[in-house]
Order: sequence, then C-alpha cells, then structure tokens
Amino acid sequence: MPGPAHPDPRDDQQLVAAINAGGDGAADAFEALYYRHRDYALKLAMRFCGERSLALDAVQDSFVYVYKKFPGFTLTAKFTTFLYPVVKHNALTAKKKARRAQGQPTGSEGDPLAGQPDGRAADPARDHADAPGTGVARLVASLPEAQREVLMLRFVDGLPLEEIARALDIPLGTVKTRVHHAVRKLREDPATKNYFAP
Amino acid sequence: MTHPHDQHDTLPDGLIDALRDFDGPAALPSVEHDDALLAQARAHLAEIAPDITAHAAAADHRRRSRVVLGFVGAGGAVAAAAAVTFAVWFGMDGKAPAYGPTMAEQDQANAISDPSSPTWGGPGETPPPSVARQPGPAVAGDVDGSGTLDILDAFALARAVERDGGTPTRGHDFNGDGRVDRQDADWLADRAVALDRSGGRG
Repeated sequence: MPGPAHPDPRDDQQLVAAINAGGDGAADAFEALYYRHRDYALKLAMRFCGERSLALDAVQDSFVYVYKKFPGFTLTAKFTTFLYPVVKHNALTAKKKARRAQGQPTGSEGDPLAGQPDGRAADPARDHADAPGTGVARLVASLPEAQREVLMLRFVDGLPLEEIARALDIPLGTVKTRVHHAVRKLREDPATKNYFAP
Repeated sequence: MTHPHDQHDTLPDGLIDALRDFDGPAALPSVEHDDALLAQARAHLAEIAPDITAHAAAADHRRRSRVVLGFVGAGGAVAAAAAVTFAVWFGMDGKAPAYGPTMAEQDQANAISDPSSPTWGGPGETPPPSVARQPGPAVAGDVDGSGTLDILDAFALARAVERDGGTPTRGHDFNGDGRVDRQDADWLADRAVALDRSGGRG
C-alpha cells in the first residue's frame, strides 16, 4: 500500500504545528498527516458515495481543503473529527455530480442507500451484503440515516460519543439517543437479535 | 444530570463484525491521486512559507518603525501618521508638548517647593512630581504625565531634546550618563516597546 515506509512519530497536533511553522518541514509534515488519515478518509468516502473513483476524488478534494487552511489552521479536536464532515460533504457532492452527469435524480444525497427497494446501494461495491449477514445489511440499511451514521461511527470507526457529537456538530445527548434507538432496533429485529443471545 | 441513554449501548463482537462487512472492504488508494495531491500541497506550502517569514519581518519592521519614528523624523507615510498622532495628542494648538519643565525650570521649582528634593537619578526611580506633567501618577519614564509609560513618552522626550538642544529636564537622564540626550529617548523607547510585548501600552 502506498505510503511512507516509516510513519512519522509526531502526533497530529505536532504535525499541524510543523505545517504552520512553514519552511522545509511543512510539506513533509503534511505528507505524514495525509498518509496517516488517507485510508480512513477513503473508507468514509466509500461509505457515502459507494464508488471508488468518486471516493478517491472526494478524498483528494478533502485534503486539498485541509492544506489550503494552512497557515493558521488550529486543531481543536481529533483530526479525524475535523476530517469527517469534510469527507462526507465532498463524497456526497461527488456522488451528486456523478448522478447529475448520468441524468439520474440527485435527491437523498445524505443517504447513500436511499431509493433502493431493499435498502441496499445500487453500487456493486455493496453487493457483499448479499453474503452472510444479509439480514444485518438489510436492517442497517433500513435504519434512518441519522441513526445509521452514528452506529457506524460508534461501532465500526470506534469514535467516542463526544467525538461523534463534534464531528456531526450535534449535541451529545442527540448522539446518545440515536445510538440507543439504533441498538434497540438491532436488539429487537429477528435478523439480529440472535447476536445478543447469551 | 445524566442522560436517559447513558447506560452503555454496546454491541456484541459478532454484530460489530457484521457491521464492518456491511461497511464494505477498504478501497485501495491510488498512487496517482497521492502524488497529485502531495505535489499540489507542496506547491501551496512552499508558497505560504515565505509569507510566514515575510509576516514576521513586517511585524518586526512595524515595531522598529515605532521606536525609530520619534528620533529620526523619518518621512513618508509613517512620519505623517506620527504627525497626525501628535497633532491630535497636543490638541492641534501648535504649542510645545507638555513633556515637563526644562532643567532650569525644574531647578527653580525644586528650589521653591522643596530645596532638599533629590534629583531623580535614572531608571527604576520615581521621578519627582515636578518632572511629570500633571495630572497623572508618577511612573518611571512617564515623560508626558499620562500615567503610563509608552512610546509617546519616548517621542515627547525626543522632541524635547531636539527643541531644547540637550537641556531638557534633569530627571530625564534615564541612562544615568549625566546628560539628557537622544540616548535617553532610545532607552525609553526600548522600555516602552518591551512593555508593549508584555501586553502593556506602547
């Protein structure tokens, strides 16, 4: 996989400071920051637009947005928290443009699975959901987008609730409520309740 | 106050794995995208790096300009701005700045008010009340009697030195060399700028 052979030992705050400091080390620091978060950004972009080429463009646009914030960029939260809404926006925008170019309706941009009879994305990249776990895929896809989003951030990405609240710019209580409702549906649905069996 | 959903909503590992499957496999990055992006980033960061230096140099230049302003009578926009500042400060009446009495005047005042009053020997000591313009508390270096030490004090002293040909008040011998001259104004300016750096006026 492309990337530096030796990951930079500096944390994100230190890398941001190095970029702000300018000079010869700025570009190297940005490169380290990019390779550290590229794969997660790509994963997020795939989640929202479901197509690799669009996701790659979205990631590229996202990091262009990042480096253009320098100098003067201040990291007040985790970098992933900052990155999430940027990637989401760019991925949905890329998907919208692609649909428009193909003459398809561009509604429900926030829900990559919307509009499909079975709740699955039309994109082949999501056909893996036909494999084992189809019931899970159907149920998750049927969740309201807001609940599905926090479910993925919490349990797939492993973000703390507070970070999710910051990434989505919503109150912490709202995050807790959405997670709670999503988990309750998973507990009660016949397709997934067996996972909770002792 | 606890949230009604503060109890931990957790998922079994098997279900989390299923969610990961739903999320799909990781997409392979693109070397071409990496290279293109990083090249753009390098170009951008290379452009802004000199600006950072330039901003710092400009800030330093502005600071130095403020210090030098009162002493060299520099022309141009900076001097014009200073002239406006002074015109406003002195009420645009064309009168001499009330930086304090001349040495002769001060001696006379001291003789009248308190013949035994010691002469202020330099920095760190409170100037005699007759030196500072009234009203205003006595502050070391407060030539104009504004109650604070700032660059305007240095400016006032510089003007006084220029006007009186080296015979301004004795209490303005800030560097303690026995003379009141441009070096004292320089000393005062340095001190005023130092105060400015620490958040004071200047």
